Amino acid sequence: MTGYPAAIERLLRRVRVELRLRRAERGAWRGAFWGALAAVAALAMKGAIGALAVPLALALLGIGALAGALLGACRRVDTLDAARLADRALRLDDRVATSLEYAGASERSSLVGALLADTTARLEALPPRRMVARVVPREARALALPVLAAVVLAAAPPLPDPQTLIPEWFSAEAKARRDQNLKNLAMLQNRGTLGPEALRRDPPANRDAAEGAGRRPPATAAENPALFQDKALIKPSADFSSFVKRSDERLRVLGETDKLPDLRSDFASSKYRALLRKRDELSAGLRARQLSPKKLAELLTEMERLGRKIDEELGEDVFDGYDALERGQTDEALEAMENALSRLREQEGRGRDARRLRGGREPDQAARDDGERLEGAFDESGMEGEGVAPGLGRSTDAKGRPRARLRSTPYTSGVQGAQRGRVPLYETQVPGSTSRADGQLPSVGVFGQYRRLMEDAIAREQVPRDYHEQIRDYFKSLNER
Amino acid sequence: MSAPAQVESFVRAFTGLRAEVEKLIVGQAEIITGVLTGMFAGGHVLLEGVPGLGKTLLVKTLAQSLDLSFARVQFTPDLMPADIIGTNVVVEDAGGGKHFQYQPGPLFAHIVLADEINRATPKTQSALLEGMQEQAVTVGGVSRPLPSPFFVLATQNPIEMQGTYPLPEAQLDRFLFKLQVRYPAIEELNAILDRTTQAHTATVQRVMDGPTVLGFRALIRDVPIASHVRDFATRVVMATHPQWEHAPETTRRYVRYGASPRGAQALVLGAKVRALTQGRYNASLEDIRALAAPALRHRVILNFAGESEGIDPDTLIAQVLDGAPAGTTRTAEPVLS
Repeated sequence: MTGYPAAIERLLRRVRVELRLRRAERGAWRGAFWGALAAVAALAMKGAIGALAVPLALALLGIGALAGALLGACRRVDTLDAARLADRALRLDDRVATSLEYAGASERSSLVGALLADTTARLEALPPRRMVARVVPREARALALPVLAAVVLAAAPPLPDPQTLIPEWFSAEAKARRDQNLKNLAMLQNRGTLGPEALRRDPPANRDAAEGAGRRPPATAAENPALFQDKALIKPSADFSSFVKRSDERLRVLGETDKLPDLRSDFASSKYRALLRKRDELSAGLRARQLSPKKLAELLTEMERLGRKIDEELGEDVFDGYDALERGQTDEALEAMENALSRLREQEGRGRDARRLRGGREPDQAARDDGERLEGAFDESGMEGEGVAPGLGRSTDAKGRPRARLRSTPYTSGVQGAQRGRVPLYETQVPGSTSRADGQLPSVGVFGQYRRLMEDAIAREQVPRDYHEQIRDYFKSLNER
Repeated sequence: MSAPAQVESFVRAFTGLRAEVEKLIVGQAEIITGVLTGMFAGGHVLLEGVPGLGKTLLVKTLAQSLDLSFARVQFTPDLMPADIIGTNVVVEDAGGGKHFQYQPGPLFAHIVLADEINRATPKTQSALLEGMQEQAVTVGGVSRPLPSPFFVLATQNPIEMQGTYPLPEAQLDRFLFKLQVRYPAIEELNAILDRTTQAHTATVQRVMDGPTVLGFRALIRDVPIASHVRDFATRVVMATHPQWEHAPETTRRYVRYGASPRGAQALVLGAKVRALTQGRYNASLEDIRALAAPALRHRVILNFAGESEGIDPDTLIAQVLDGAPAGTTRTAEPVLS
């Protein structure tokens, strides 16, 4: 039961019918447009379809329009939408839609009854008029184009076969590539390494017999690329020696990876780092010149403890520091401490060199001065490469020294920031070519330098004031790493 | 009385009341209608305009036209809350004993004119909050109901900023409508001169009493509103919120906070009053559109960009109205497609 007056029911029925008609009309336009597009496609293939092309195109146009109209007409019409349309078309100020909603309510106020009566009276007084405006879709406006194209195609002779429209240059390129391949093959054959008969594989029985006799069956042209996994060989300019050279290079690069230091364990066990930690712990955020003599003394004691077994001169610096502290000369104590710290850092660096964390320049130079020793027999520490000089013990490297093994020559390249003693050194040895190997300079060796440069830059006000703390925090974080 | 008769009575009363006010107020028909709409909707109205446009006279005339008590409070910086809501004073009885007695403030009137409300401090402005929302004030721990109907009409001057305290958002939100009193046209100005510079002055008659106003308020709340009209009001309010996913670009750029739910209440109640004044039994989309600006302009808080570019909230609301009604089809196109 609808619950609303008959006048409203009649109005809604009229709106629904009108709306379906408009939707069908709209759908027909849209369907006709897409049907016309399909008709154009059919007429474009008139040559293949033949005499049926024109009737087919007409059928597509008609089917499109019909399908669109059916789809539009069959769509559900919402009652509230219809009521709003009527309100808008008849300028009823939402009376119909409101009546529709409130008519079915279980409790009606007196105003709802008045509303229904008012709406009914107004509807009965209104003359019948069109309520749903005709809206022409975009497709209808564009329909002329495909229809025109279809007419032209229908009148014109059939279009040529698309295969014949492929440009000549396309096949010419393929032809050139094919010629080049044939030329390469002929070049390989002309070298005499492969006869025409070698292009055929031997029967398996023949190959087994050859292997049993201790000789390898000759490789065929088809096997070579698979054997070496290098397409360079099938190029006319490639030869076997270049392949061996490149393989040697690859082996050398693989060997270099054996020399990569274990930076994490190195830094974790560093005495220098332990000392830095101690200093941070004692300073508690204060700068070096703000430390109390007591804390400086503790720091010196820690230095002495760490460096006692490393270097006797370290002990002298520490002793100088104690002496200066007793005399109340904090600056001198700090200077002595700085010297001790540098010495400790150098000791660390030498330790790393000994573990081949950094390429040592002197031993290599000495080796060259001594006149090329037996290549591959010894490394700088006097240890042998594995299996090269039996009886002299094993190398610390699992595979021996790769450079010696691979007969390569170390390259010297410039790395800014290296330091030998107190003298800045801008050249250090880096294994491998500069274009392939990164500098392997330990960051801890140059960190102090950069930190001093940073402090100088800040003192000279070369850095904006707002960035001072940020930069210091950055260096502090590097120090902690 | 039947519903059509009630509605007819309301229309007649509304028209009569407006005619009485128009005896003294020239022009400003929109403002008078807005004030009466606010009163019948049960809300309070803030009038904003430069001095001399008749804001205070409008309110005084309205009070004279209604058989209701009237109080005027001139807001000044030294006005205290107790000056408005009243206080306990010590009185001596016949036997010589002393006791506290509550002395009501001017808020205890049916119609309160808060003149130049933005001249008082926020503390004093806030003394109105409870009265406007709850229709009661609490003094000395005792809640005292205000007379019904209770209707606050406040005026403020938009250009004089020295020595003023802009109303806080919570206070602004209590006003159902904010009406902007504009300068009269030249014919209206001539009529004002004729009426105010001659010996004859018009007298206003009382045409409505309190119970009638309350009866009309009850009738107004019964006015049916279709769901799509209610949805439209909700969408308009939501479209003033920059955080809303369907908010228009203007809102996103220039609005800091959108209208509160009180804004939607104001829209719907105002739409119902407007429908009845036109003899209609239902609220329509046009009613919502007509009342969107007075109901929302003081509830939309612009951000810095909006303030600096001098964005007018009325323009913003007009754009919202144009862009918001996604669910209410204005053309046949969405229904057809």
